[in-house]
Amino acid sequence: MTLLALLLSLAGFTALALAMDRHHHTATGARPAKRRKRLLQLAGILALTLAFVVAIAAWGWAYGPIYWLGLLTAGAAPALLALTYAPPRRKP
Amino acid sequence: MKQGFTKQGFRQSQAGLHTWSGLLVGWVLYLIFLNGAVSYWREEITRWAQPEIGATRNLETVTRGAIAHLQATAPKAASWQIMLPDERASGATTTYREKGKKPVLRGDDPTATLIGPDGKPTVARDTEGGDVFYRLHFDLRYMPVIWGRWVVGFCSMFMLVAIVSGVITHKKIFADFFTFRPGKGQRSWLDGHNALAVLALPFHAMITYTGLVTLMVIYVPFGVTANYPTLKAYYAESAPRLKPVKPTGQPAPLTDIGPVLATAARLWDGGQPGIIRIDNPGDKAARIVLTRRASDKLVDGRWEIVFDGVTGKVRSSVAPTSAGMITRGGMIGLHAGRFAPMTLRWLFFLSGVAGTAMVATGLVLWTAKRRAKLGTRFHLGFWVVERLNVGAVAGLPLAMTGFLWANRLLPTGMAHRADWEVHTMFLAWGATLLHAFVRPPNKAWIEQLSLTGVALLLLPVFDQAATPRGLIDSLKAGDGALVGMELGLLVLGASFLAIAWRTARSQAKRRAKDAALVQLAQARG
Repeated sequence: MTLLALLLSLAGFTALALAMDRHHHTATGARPAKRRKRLLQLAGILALTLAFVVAIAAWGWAYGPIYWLGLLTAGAAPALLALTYAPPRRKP
Repeated sequence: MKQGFTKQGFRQSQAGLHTWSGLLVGWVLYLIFLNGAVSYWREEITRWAQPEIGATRNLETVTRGAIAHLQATAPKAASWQIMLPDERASGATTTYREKGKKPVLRGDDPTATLIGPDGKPTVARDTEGGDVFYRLHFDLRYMPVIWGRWVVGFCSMFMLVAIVSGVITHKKIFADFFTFRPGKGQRSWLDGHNALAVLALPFHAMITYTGLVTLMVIYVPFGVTANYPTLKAYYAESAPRLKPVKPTGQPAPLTDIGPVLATAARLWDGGQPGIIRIDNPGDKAARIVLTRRASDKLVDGRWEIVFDGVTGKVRSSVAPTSAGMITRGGMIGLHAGRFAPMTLRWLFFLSGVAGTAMVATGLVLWTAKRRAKLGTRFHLGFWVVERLNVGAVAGLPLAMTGFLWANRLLPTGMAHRADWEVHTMFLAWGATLLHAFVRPPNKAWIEQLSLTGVALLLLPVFDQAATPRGLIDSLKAGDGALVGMELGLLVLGASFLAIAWRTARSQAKRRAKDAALVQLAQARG
């Protein structure tokens, strides 16, 4: 369950990052279309919400939110590091 | 700054507040954050610091051994006390109080005996272990505890101010959520500071606020003083003590501890005692008081069950019940993370490290911002801050590593050995501060960071060669805590060397750039 919630958090933050002009540009070489931006934001929020549901299911209402917040940090950090040090290769 | 804050916009005024509230207490906050983060491994560090004792496998063995030891050494005592380890710790400690004597509240109890995992009395080197960092985190050192707590509380209040004003002043803190641009001087420090702050923002806000709550009765006593004549009266009502019981003089054997432990586990949903106190052992009026350990529940507070020492029946029990006490206890529990299983403990620790790095980057940022403006001009404030940064940010971890080495190298029979481990740490810290003021800061950074790295990396080497519990031994024994400690030391050492190397490389780059600019100017001139 820890791994699932962590992966959801990572996926969520990656989607949220790609919904931002600058990072979308780093990743694809172009700014995202409005529709695409919306979709990425929606996907990001959905993944983070799912991570919350998983955390509550696994650890209950007392501990679940603590795990969730901790795993949010743990998921966002690799997203940031990847964008900085290993940006996806652009198509020529 | 002379215009005053009122003529500027709200955000600029917050920038001033953030910069100066941060700098003023930054060095103390760095100490608090670093030692707080390290304290999540308090028990593991203590275990590492006493390689004489192995891991505790069975609590009942230890408890029975402790009672047998007390029975043999102090059968006529007024009261026995056993401090039990949790899964992460090792070795129980027994103390006792003779009839007519007052209990020892602080400092070394001469009756203290260490009971090993096999239930037999044992001896380990005299050390404070992980407690030293834990205490330093909120009591500081070499001053009355209450002063330390006031200083820490004052700085924590500034931290809370810095968090709120920081979110306002770094206006792009959320827009720059994923942004880190390395190798760009001041820009990179700001990016790093922002990222470390925002990624673990829930933790930073939680830990600062709940930290203040742990000592709130000291900082904001007015709610208490308005309703109680004295603080003592408040404590007497909020945490009432058991009334002492007089011995009858009729001997009676103590009940078997096994069923007592089983009953406690049932009443506490599987919880375990951290302290067992036995009053009037061997008397008909014997009483066993179990206090629940902190590691198997979130809410910090007093959970107690009183048993009849002869029949083993439950007489009474206490648990936090009021909403206020549970809320406060929950916050304290969340802050200290004693309940946290390994996954969560790692998340707490890594967030704490992020907080430490956030404070450190904030301090460095202060100088990076001003260096460009000042050029080669001398400015006393800048000169001092630059050197204090080296002595604090690089010096403190070096001093803490010095404590670990003192733990390994000071002779075991030495008088006041535990104190000297701590003195060594502070002497080392003094030396790093001195070093920071006599060497050019560029060089001082690299020298202190690399020395810390090397000193950390050599610890596991020493342990393998000179103690019975090096990395390989602990791997063979399946002792996760000590394997983690040794690997942790290696990773930390490598990280310090990597930071030293990056610092050296970026300094070389800057020098090359400066030289190129000078050449260009000469060629044109």
